[in-house]
Amino acid sequence: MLRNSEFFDAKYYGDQVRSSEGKVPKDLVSHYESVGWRFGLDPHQLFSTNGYLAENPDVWKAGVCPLDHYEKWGRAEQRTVVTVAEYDRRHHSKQIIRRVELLDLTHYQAQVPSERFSDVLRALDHYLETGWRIGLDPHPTFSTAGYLHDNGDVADDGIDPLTHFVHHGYFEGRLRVDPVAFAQPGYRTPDSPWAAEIRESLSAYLRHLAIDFDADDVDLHGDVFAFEVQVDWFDSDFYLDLYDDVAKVGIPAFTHFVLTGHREGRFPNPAIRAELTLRDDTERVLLARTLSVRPSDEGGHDGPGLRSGSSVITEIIDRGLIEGDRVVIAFAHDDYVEHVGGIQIVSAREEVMFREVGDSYVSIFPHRESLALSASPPDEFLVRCRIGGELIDGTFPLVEFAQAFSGWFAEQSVVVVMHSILGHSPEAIEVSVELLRPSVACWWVHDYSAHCQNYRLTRNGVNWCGDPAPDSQSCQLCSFGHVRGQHLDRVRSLIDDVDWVFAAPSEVAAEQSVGGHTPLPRRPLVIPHGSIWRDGAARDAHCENEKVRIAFVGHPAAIKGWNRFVAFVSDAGAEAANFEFFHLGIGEQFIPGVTFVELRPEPRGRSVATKKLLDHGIDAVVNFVDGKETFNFVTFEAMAAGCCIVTSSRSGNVIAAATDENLVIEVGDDFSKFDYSSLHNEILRKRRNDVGEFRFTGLTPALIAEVTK
Amino acid sequence: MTLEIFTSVNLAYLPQASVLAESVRKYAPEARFTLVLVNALPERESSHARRLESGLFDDVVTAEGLIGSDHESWMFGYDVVEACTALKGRALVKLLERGNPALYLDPDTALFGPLVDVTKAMSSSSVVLTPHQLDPVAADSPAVDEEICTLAHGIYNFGMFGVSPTDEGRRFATWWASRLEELCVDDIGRGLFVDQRWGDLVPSFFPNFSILRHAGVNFASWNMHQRFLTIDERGDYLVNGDPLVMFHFTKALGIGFEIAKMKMADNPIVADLWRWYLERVDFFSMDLGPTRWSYGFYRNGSEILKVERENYRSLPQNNRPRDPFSGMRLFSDRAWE
Repeated sequence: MLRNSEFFDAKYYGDQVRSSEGKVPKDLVSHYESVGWRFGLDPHQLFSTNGYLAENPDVWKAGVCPLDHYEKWGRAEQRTVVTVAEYDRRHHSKQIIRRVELLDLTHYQAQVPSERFSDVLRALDHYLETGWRIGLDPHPTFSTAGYLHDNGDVADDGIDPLTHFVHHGYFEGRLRVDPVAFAQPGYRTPDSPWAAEIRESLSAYLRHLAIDFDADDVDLHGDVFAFEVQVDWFDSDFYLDLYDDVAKVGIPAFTHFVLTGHREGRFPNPAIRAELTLRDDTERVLLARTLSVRPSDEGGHDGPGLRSGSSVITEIIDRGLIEGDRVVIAFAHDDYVEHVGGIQIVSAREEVMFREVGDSYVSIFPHRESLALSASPPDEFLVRCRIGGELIDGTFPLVEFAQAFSGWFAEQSVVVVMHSILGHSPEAIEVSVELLRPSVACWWVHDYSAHCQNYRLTRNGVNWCGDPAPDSQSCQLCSFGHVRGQHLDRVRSLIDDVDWVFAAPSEVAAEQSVGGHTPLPRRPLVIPHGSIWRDGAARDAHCENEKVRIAFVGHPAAIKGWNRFVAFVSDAGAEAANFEFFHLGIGEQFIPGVTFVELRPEPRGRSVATKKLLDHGIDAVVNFVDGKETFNFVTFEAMAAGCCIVTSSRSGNVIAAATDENLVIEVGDDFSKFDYSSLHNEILRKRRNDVGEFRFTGLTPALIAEVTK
Repeated sequence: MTLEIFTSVNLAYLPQASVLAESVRKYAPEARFTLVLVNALPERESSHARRLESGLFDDVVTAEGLIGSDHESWMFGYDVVEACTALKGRALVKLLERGNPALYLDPDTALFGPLVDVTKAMSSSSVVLTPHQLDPVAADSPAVDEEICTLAHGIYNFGMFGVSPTDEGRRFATWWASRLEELCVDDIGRGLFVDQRWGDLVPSFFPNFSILRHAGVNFASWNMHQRFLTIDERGDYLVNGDPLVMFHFTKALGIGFEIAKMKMADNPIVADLWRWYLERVDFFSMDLGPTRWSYGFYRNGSEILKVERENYRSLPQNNRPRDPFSGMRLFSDRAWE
């Protein structure tokens, strides 16, 4: 009957037989009927052997040749025929396994000493007829009893586990059971290592999602389709709707999530999905709340004890903390020793540089850290300070301190440096600067706090705004719009009343500071903080079969593009097989598929980030910030390690610096449409093997030298 | 001439009307803003009363003020949405008597820019209409559904329309108000959708009309698929290149927001507007206590069902109960003995 079948193509079939057996039998039809279908060979490109068996489970249960069945009964019964291409496409991420591939002749023969199997097909026939019923294992890695133990529905249907696994279980994500593991006492009981491992990974994932749930409440046992727990943080309908691969195989949603889904970073409910994948930032915008003007600090002093400014001067004199002919008084928004960030790095570095030439460095910061300017009257504005790296006890009025300082240190040359105005009282600083009579007053454009309290210039704290006109619609509607006017008035008054030298660490920062609608009065001098020195050292070349390693470096904040990185990882899908993802930072975020590497400061040598990037063979660093970075140390540290920088055109000095080093990989502004394959190839092409280190060259000492030459 | 801007609400929508009023103060400070209150006046010293007297609204006109002593009989025939929309007709007639142009704005709208283009259109037309959509979409576009919705609910959105104090403008107002007396109902099958479907007849009946073809006017979820919000170099919003003038936050506290959120995926800057609006509504809701519609209950406190209103409306005028709020149920033809 098959000889006349429209679904038997002798040439098509013959080519398959030749490629698998090296020769072609004369009677191809008989070969297919007796042997070929068992090996999963297809008689015609429009008839998939395994596809027909998968669509018609009663046929494979009967153990008959599928094309034979179709011609005799299936066509009349309008049974589904699947093309070869369709069957391959359906399981695009997995290769078809044939039963014969999971029968090891030697292993099986050893279990049946009373019979002699001439080939694997004879052994397979024996297994399908008898062997599985008496608990024989077809392969060293496939436990018959274990599979039936874990899949009660298969056992109930009386199906042989090998056929079920090949035709259904494999594609449904069911696992084959190792005979050795199955032989262990307590296999897949709630107390087994398997259960403990699932609980541990589930707990870690739920912790990352901030879901308070005790994984011990999930009663894990062998029958994977039996357990189901009603929890308010898991939305089955949402899960099945989002993950149609789970819905198609009919596994209960929660079962899939517990056994597999959480390891793949799948979302248990829509709120978490929205929170973690704010790719277009719409939700972040909608959640932003309008800031109000900071109330007065009057009567609100807390923290270290209040002391007078003159008592601080007395202590400075008694302890000899001020030395040399020059004193640098630098205003920052926080204590550079206690916090991590670009401005803090600069302050720490400057303090060392000035100390090495015999100058004194006084870092002054608000007693109450805030992005909002202080509303205290100028003479009541309180600050703290660190001199020569040493923190001075207590909180004191800035103006009082400046008055006392100007009296006692009149012989010293004073340099005033503005690293950040945030949290300060511009009026108190203006009075203080007048008292201090500096030889030069420097204003660094480390950020855009001279233009808005939102120092990153992001509308609603999310999308780059570029310094719009304060009375424009977008500024008025922005969550910072209410405070911007007052912020600008106060800061600009300070800027206008002091003869500042403006400096920016990059052309991008300089251009932005005069290119918006609230420009600085003068274009800043461009004094980059430093550059990469390549000292001839080299890293290992990328091996051909190695995955590309991509990292996010730093604090996992949305403003730094962390959410976009998480989405980048989770959307990789099948492409993830070509990548390894890393997060280098201080606190682990437990993102499935992302390896965490802790960053701890080291005193000398290459920067800690550069060293860690090299240690872990990172090929590329993503920098998905939305906003014109003024400098971005992470980018330089990564480039020093030879890493490509994956970023967008909107990242300011990130893309500028990476372009200069020919290490930029520019992605579109819509971070949702990555071409992972192209990215993979471009990283391999662009990454550098020569490495170096980032060296500071252009901080305030360089600025002073530039100004006074 | 003074531009007469008016809106129509019950007390539950006072927060939204407050946001609108605030925006009118900002972008049309010269206009007189009238609140048509489809509700009994709230008790003196109540939070709602304080809001009405806060200065946000230049005038407050009640249903009783517009209809007269027969207002209860009139109001019984309509649910709250129908009543709020039906009274627009009478309010329009009244405002035109002042000899000024009148611009109606739905309470869930807000101005974001001056009304220059709107008033310019009103200066040369008797009736100015704002269509739901300004451009057709491709035949295979899913947005064809929006066009079908427009066909069912009215070509022109009556959340914003303008009428000049011309003879034709007054004729339109009189005609429209007359239709809204009894036929301001949601009955799509009959071709009626409250006040709005009547607007489809304007081009036929009142030739001195104009359609305001301005993408920044009456920007809403029903045209978000074809109007895209951008920001110009200065920081001002543009809608397909036109300045943003008015956005319609339809059903903002319910399904309207969910629909808009879905569409924000392709029009993300719209999130700026919604963020601001929901925050302002929240602000204007904070000091207002609970409220209920004064025409929503019988005098014994039980709620009036929609079917009872429909039954009442189906009766000839001279067969209707004189005091429908007295508590007589109208389930049967002769329930009132």
